[in-house]
Amino acid sequence: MALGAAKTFVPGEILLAADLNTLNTNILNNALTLISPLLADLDANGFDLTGLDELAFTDSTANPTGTGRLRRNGLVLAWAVEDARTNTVARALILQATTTGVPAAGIGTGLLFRMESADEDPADAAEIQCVASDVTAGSEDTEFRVFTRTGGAAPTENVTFRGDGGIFFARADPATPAAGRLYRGNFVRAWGNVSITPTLNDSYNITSVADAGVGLVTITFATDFTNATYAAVGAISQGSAVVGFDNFAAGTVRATLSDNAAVLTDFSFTFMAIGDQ
Amino acid sequence: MALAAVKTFVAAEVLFAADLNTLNTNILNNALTLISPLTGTLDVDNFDITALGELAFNDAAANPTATGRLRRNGNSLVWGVVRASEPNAVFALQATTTGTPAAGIGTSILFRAESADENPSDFGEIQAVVTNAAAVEEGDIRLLLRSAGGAPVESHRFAADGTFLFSLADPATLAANTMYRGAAIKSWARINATPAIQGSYNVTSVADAGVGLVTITFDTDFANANYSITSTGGASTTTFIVGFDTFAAGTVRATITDTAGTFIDAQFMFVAIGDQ
Amino acid sequence: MALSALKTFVAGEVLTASDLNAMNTHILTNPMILISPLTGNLAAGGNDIIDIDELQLSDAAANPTASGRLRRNGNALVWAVEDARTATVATALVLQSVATAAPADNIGAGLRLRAESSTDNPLQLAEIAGRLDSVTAGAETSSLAFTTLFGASGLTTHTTVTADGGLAFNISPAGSPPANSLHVRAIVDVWGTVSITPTLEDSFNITSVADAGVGLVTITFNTDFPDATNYAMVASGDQAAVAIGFDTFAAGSVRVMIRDLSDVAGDQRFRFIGIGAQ
Repeated sequence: MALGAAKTFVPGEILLAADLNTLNTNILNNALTLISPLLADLDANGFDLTGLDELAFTDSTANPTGTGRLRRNGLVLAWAVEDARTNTVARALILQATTTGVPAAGIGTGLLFRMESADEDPADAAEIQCVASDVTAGSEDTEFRVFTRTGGAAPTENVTFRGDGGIFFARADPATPAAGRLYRGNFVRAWGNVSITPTLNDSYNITSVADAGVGLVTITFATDFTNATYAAVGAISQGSAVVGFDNFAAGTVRATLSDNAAVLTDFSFTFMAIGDQ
Repeated sequence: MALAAVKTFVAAEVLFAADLNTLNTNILNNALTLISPLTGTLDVDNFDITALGELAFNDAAANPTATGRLRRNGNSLVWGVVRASEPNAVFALQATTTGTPAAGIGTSILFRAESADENPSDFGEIQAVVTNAAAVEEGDIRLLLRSAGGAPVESHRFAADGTFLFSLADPATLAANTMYRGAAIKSWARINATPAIQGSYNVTSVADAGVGLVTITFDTDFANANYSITSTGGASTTTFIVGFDTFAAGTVRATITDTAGTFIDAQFMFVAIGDQ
Repeated sequence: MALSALKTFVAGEVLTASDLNAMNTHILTNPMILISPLTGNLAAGGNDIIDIDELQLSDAAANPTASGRLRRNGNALVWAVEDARTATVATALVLQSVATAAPADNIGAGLRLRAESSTDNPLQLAEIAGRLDSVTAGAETSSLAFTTLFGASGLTTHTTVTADGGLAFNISPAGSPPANSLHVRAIVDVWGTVSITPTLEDSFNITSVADAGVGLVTITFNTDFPDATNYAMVASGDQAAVAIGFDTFAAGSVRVMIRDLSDVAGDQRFRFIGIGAQ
């Protein structure tokens, strides 16, 4: 027994009130000692455990034994479920954070990864936040924001996966970009396939093209560049003709089309542009 | 004590059976009141607690005190471990089947908050999905997000084949400093005068179509013939003019001339972008 | 009661020591039967519950009833909080992994997602992990990696949100690229706008441009290509009737040739894009 008997009566002993009281209060006053440590599984019978401070899991060195079980295996706390699904996704974890107030844009829920640095124990390292940029009924927009650290500062927004399908790069390009990485500065911002008329056959981030004269086409961007020093390159849709660009502005540029005799001439052409936005 | 004594015997009191029964059944009938609330740490001694309803954590306003502990710190449920070195994973979500697993089976984590009219509101989900459930398994990670009030749908995918997929078509309004599907380069190559591919992406082959004419065949085609392809020619001390014609979803023809307009076989390069 | 009375005394019965002992020890030796199953909520009173092997949660088929509660709803383990925030993020789950010794660069903590395959139960399917790339005091940098199951290679880091603000695609897959995908080889590696002087007016991944003669400009890359062959350069001039070519390819530089349509070299402003197998 975890809780010992306060008294063991001997045969023929006179039974005194005090002894009975002691027997009774021994149990009543030492309820925790009575039950702890447990001697077997505790059946909560569908009831709750409330007022918890910490739950300490022993390392069972094994995965959960059944569905709906939480167990520690080494360093890993594992939640396991099993059902009859064979080819669909089980939502195994839900992180829910609601408000007592009126939700507004910016409300969200996060998952933080924390470890240790040379002088911080623990140290917040990276976070995924799921945030609404619009909470308006019937027009909610959400995104996954990834926060990481740089230069010892607290985690800040780095890359955001948007609900409209885009990836937003929050940070300026590094001084030395690493090979094979995508940054804010190295993806195409606009492209177009322009007919000889000129009309847009297809495009990306282009509002319109306009005839500016023989061999001259003004291109207007939908989302402008930051300045006029972006790069635009193109090709004529036939041989022996060249396309150049002039009149650079943040929101427009003019294509100049000439034949191999340097005579401005209408051609169909394609182009792409890249630069700071 | 949480459970009070139903009777306290007084000295010299006559001891009745009924009183002894009452003493005993008071404990037997009120076991929960006896132990709850706990007056100290409950040691489960490596047993299980089963059939739980809810676990309600006080806000300890502090992190776990030792390895292998779950604690609430403000809004955060914190799982903390102390280790000597790798590995990384400290939390696992596992969803298996009683049936035969097939492609599409997976596990996810859902992020929920609140919107103007939904409480709670599903904001986004991260799914891990098996794409090949046979030996030499493959899987991808899919992000699901909301747009314009719709339910969360796949927006991005870290695909099982190692590529990154923009799952949604370009929106009508493109945000600044944001990359969309349409901004991804779909093909490039450097082609020598033979013509032969020296370096490329998404090009199956190049074929000699005549002097200064090269037919380029894409591996994964464009959606139509309206893509953009830009080019430059180059060789020692001489420039060439490279244009393109005969656009098709899967092929295009490069036309290479000197500045006099004479077709000539020469090295050239191109970059192509468009809808797929 | 889960634990029954060992004896019920009858009126007038002689009370013996052995009966009292038995009654007492019956409770003392059967505490589990006494308390289990619970007949109501167990209040921990702010104390801990330790040395747990497994927690098995019943399917409540409902979300948690209040803030700070963990509950099972179907397959989902649901952690719910509620407070007065209206426009900020609640960090609902923290995965914390600290070291017994001094931490070293690349220490990390991750969330593993598991499923099942025809041969593995469970199958280690994916992982999302945060990592401190540098643990140096006051100079910590971190990244977030998405790891997927990549065939025979097993769990492989797929994409990393890097500390320098980029997305690193760690796999260069072979085979036909899927439509609308982004491949590491399809990322623009360099671009620039070069004045007539020549000077660099704007750029990405360019260290410098240098005058190499009339109509000749040498472009030096900051981060090189892997070799001299596996990249493409395209360019256009800032006016009509300019033909631009490239030669003298090297992993770290390339020369631009600018000519008019009579094939005469001449200095002009131009713009270029380069892409390859970085």
